[in-house]
Amino acid sequence: MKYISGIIAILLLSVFAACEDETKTCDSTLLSDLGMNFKKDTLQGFLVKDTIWPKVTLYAIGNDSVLIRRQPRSSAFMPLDPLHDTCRFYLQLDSIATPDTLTFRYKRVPSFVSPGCGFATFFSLDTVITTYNTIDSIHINNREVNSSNDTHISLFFIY
Amino acid sequence: MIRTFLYSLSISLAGLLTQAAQAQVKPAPAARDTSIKRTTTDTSAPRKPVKATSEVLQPPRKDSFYITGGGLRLGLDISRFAIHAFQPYRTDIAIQGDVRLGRKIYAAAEVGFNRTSHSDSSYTYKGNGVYTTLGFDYDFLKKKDPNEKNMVYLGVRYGFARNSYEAPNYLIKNGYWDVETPGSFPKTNMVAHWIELTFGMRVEALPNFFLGWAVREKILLSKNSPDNFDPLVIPGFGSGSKSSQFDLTYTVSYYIPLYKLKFNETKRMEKLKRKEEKKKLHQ
Repeated sequence: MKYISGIIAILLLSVFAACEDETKTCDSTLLSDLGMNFKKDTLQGFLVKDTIWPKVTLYAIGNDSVLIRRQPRSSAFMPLDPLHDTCRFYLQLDSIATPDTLTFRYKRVPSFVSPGCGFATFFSLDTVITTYNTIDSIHINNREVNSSNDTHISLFFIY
Repeated sequence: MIRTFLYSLSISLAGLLTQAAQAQVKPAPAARDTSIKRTTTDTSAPRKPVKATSEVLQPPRKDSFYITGGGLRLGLDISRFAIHAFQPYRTDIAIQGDVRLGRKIYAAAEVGFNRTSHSDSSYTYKGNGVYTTLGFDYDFLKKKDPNEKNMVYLGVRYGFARNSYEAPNYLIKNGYWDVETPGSFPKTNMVAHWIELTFGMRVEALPNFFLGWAVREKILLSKNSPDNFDPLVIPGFGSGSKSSQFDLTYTVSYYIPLYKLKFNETKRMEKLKRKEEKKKLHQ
């Protein structure tokens, strides 16, 4: 008998949870940005560590606003162009380093995120092309760019 | 006078006592030759095996039955109207029914309709569909009167829903590229299957008029909605983006007597006895 009040309380809570208006709250992120991190490759791939570049500058070519301006970073997020199937980014990792250009080709998929968040454009990565001025190599970890905040590509450097 | 009365009374009592004594004492055998003589032919009747006295005394076995009413209990789930207050985009109607199949077993079904309509600055959604659940309830209420129709039950159901929905317009905003992408999602049809576990009770508040509540846990088995567009609501199941859903129902129902059910009580008691004996043996 002593557990009955507890059981009733749990039931009521569950009922209220089930009756929650899902259109009022956005519980998932709407930022379907492409995640990228930087890796330092030593001993020819035998020792790979995360690395921080001291003055990272990143922006989309053809877009005036700069995403990152001379900031120390070990990772970055890039919003892909929702109106086209390709976009290019300028990436300079240090003030003295030669800048690189990253080109992304992808498919756009409008997707329903949740009743509270509505719709967002998700991307399915097809190709990533880069110049190799400072970048040594590139690896695609996950081709599906959705609201999961993954690290989709890793850039490797040798120095 | 009194003397005469007492005399006659004593005579009559003595007479009665003598009669009683005669009844007790067997009459003496007649004076004749009692020596055993051999008979030339066997005149004895063939002997039948003697039965045990206890068996002879038992009356012939008859199974005892009881007859109780069976019928259809039809009800309206009024909790669906309360859900509309919490989730204004949902309009649901649910009708539940059950029929008694056995002593403890009931067949249960539910049919319902759902209409979903939502609109905000980011998207507009429209959907409607129907659903049905079919299953069984096991009544574990110990009844004093076999005709009692109250029940406390555990049940299992299979649910199936068909839904059609669309997003006539949506708007995707992107801050960095400073663009707004409008679009629409065409009408999509989907079906969903789930399993429901339920616990509840139904009480006869007035003759043939029942009030009942139940808690339900629904587990989604499959749905064939497109990956990039889950429905807001799956009729009868609940949220279209969840794989399990808890729910509470409150039903007002009416019982329509339709047929009679006959139960063999003797067999049941024998079964119970056997079970008890088995239990004792195991112990």
